[in-house]
Amino acid sequence: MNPPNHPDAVVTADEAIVGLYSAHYRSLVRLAALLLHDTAAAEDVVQDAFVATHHSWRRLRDPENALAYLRQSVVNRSRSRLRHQKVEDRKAPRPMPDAPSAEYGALHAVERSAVMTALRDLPRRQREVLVLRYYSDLSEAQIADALGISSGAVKSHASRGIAALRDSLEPQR
Amino acid sequence: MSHDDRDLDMERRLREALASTAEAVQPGGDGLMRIQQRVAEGRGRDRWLRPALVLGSVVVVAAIAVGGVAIARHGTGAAKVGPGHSPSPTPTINPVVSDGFPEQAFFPFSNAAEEASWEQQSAGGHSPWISDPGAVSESWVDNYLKFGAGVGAGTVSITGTSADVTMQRAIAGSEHPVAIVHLVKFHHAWLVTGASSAQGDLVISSPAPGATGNSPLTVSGPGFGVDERANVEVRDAETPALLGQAKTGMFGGGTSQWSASVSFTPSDEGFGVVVVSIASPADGGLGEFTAQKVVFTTASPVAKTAGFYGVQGGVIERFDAGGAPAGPVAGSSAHGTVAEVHHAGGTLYFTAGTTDCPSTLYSLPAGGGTPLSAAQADQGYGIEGFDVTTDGLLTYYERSCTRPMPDPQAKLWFEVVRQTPGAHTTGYISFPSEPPAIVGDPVWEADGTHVDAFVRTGMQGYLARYDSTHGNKTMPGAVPCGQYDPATQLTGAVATAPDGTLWFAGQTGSSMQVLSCDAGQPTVRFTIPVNGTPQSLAVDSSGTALLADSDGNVWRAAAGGTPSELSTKGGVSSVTW
Repeated sequence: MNPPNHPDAVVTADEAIVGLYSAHYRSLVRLAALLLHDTAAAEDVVQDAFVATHHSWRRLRDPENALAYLRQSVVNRSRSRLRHQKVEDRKAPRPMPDAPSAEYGALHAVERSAVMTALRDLPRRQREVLVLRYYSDLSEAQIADALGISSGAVKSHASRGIAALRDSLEPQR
Repeated sequence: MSHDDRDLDMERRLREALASTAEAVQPGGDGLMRIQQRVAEGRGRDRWLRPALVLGSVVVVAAIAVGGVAIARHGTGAAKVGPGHSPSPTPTINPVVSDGFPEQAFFPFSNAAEEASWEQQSAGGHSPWISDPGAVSESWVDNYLKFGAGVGAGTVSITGTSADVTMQRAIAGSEHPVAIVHLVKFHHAWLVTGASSAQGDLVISSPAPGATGNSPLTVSGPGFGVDERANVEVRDAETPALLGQAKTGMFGGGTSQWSASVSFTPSDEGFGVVVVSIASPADGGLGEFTAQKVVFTTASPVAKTAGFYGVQGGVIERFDAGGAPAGPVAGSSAHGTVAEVHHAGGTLYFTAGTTDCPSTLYSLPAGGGTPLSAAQADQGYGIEGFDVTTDGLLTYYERSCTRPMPDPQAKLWFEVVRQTPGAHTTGYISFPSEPPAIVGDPVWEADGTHVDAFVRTGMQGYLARYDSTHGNKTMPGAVPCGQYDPATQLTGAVATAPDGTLWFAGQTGSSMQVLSCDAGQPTVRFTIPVNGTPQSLAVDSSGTALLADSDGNVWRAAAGGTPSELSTKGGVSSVTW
């Protein structure tokens, strides 16, 4: 019997995708939804990323690489989709569902809406960095990897993004 | 408030807004299925390219292309009825008509009464495709023989009340004929009587069309070609179920004949279809096939002996032994979408709530009634898998549904559903950060003390044994099935048989395998030749197993028998006897 992490235990792409799906699909869809503000589009983007990961499995092998690749693919595809969506969806954007108001309360909903609106108004890089930092809880290095920028740039975008949000929201408090 | 404090406050507000916004996003439950479908489609395309680049026998590709041009090209989407020429070799079956109904006909009807019923309904526009021989052929090949939607009807040649439909699929840019489906017309319906290979070389010489036979059935035919190998299936005629399957040895290059012995569990209908196919040397996909009716000498000793319960469409559904839905269990939809069900001692236990976070375990009389709450997950957690014994011992795995994830992210609980003699320790094991995480159900061992579960650690996993009285995992030697090698497959479902034997099902990469742990050693009980992901497993006292895969299909196999797919109409996510 091989122990759980025996090096000979080759994981096929099919198995890997099932494992990644089980562990990360939901959070990746939510990440994409935060970037796209469209749940259906978010699912499409994440499914595209999984299919691409499957195709690239021979190169990835390491599950940690696979998750980083998936996340990077989701961010990149969300960005492309957003560019396209900005042209197409000016007519009829599809908003994400509201959270149950009974649980969160009216005040919470107003606060959340204000923050999310301010977030959407930020430059794209700042928005991506803040979502990856404060929703996905990624480190600066991981964010840099996902966005293909330096750690210094991550720090800078995060700092400017938080400041811009604060400036935008403080009059409302 | 200082500048730093204001930033910290902003970070907190942003984190909360992102978490609550994300929490409202509920992905659909079909994501994996869609990904797998697209990967499969991609594979199809990939397989096309490789042979074109590396295949030594360019002649084969050229021959296919020529063949494609020779046959009228109607594409694979819709059947076209037209005069066309008949490229058919000698049909495998010459239909014999007696008492009005064609004796060899089996699809979509196998008797005059079924056809008459359709005639009555067809006046109202019901299933008009049955009066189109091309559409009937496509439905049979795609939905019942399961050769896939890439195989479509080409030329349709009609002579009086007989029709030959060329089934074809695209290879290297050309339509390649794979079989000629033979049909006869009965009143307004076109009925399939069999199929012969398009090139005429793949022929079944034994058994004869419509002959009687039983398991194991020896199927043979004359050899041809070079380095050929055929797949032989015995299928149910009235459902898409595969009853048994075998491969021939390599033949061709002078071999006088091919043959295979197929073990199968006969269906109750008393007849089925023998299907023989070979792969295309160009791309590895379907090359040719031939099919004919076979009559079973005896009915299955296990078929339709007992029904089962399953979750379909978010409610608990009863299924008959053949897998046909027999109606929902009253009361099962009272508390939202049902995620999982287990039957223990005349009571159905099920989890329900929101689709993404079923937080409550309910009990319900198996005959239906008013559900009662039996256990409740902690606030913000949903129950992912559970097991209940007839004594009321309960174990369940709850996982956080909220972001940011709390610590622990998941817990394995040991409880009692109702008071039983000898109070049982109630407690839980923490899973601070997944992975490791439990996949499928945790299951009680017969001793009522230990709980076994499959634990995934990233891409790997192992079978673990937990001691409910001490709330710890037995270490070392945590694997409750000594020689089971988790590296060989991805386990997705675990069950305890009534005799206390641990069963589990895994994905090998090319098939699903169901194993039992007998005296600490793993034994392969049966293999399902489908690259699916096991999701739910149930075993009865006779050793008959039910397995639901993540695509919602259900398989059944008796001890020593061959698994067959049940006609549940799909979408079944959990099964229990």
